[in-house]
Amino acid sequence: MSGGPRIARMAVAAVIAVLVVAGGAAYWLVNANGFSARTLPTPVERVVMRALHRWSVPSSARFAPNPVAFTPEVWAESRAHFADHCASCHGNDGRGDTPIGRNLFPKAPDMRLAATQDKTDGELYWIIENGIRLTGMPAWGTGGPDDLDTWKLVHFVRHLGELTPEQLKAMAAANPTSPAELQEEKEDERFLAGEDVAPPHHH
Amino acid sequence: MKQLLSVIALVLAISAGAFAHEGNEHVRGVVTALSAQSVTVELANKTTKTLSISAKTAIENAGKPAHLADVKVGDRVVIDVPEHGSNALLIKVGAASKK
Repeated sequence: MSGGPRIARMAVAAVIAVLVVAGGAAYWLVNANGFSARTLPTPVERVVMRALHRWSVPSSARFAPNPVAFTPEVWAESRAHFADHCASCHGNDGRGDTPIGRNLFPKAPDMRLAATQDKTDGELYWIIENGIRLTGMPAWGTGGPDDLDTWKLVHFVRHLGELTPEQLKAMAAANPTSPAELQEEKEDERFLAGEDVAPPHHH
Repeated sequence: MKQLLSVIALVLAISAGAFAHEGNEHVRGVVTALSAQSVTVELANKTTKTLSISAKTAIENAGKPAHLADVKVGDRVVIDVPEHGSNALLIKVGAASKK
């Protein structure tokens, strides 16, 4: 007859215990790293976040096949799209070795490696479309299943290892350029032409 | 949620502009010394800077691929260098200095 209240007390105690442990872990994390983005995720954070993310992708989306055939035109289009929208963080070569990518938490991954390449096409599509919560990866699409531009980017990720120096150079020319950079490039050209210009300003 | 995404997109757009060349610095100067391993340039403030050259260093003359042999002491150059680095990634060659 006292089973109900006893179970309820145990449940409350369990919840309190979990909250205390979670609070302690959070306190330790904040004190250890100050919520800095400079550190690497702990092994526990990596395992938990990867598992959570994997579970968050519906199985119907995970195994969705790429409806876009890989052609030279798709390859060229996806390179231009990636250079304009993605390379600021991921780098044109997908290594993530950019000022933003290096300093995100977690850092932008080297997408040539297994952690990315082992994902299914559907998972890559889902990530590009929906982003990854609590990371620097925004949702680029509407979340629907048939954004062909996103499927083309999946092809790009799959073919990162095939980028040639010429293609990388063309992508660099397609990267976003700020007004300040355009100004600096003009001044570079004037300097090379023999004019006297002020020294370049660096942040 | 849309507001949050807009803010993130705005931050990324601004950041993208700031780092469009992935953090490279441009070193403008006149070549004062050159070898297969390094190039030394005199900057506008009359100080000199020496940057290392490797097989990965690209050379451009008037926007077209060139060779290290095309670079001469006295040439004006703009050199792309990684932020806080000293290895020349790209040397753009311009006119010979007036001096």
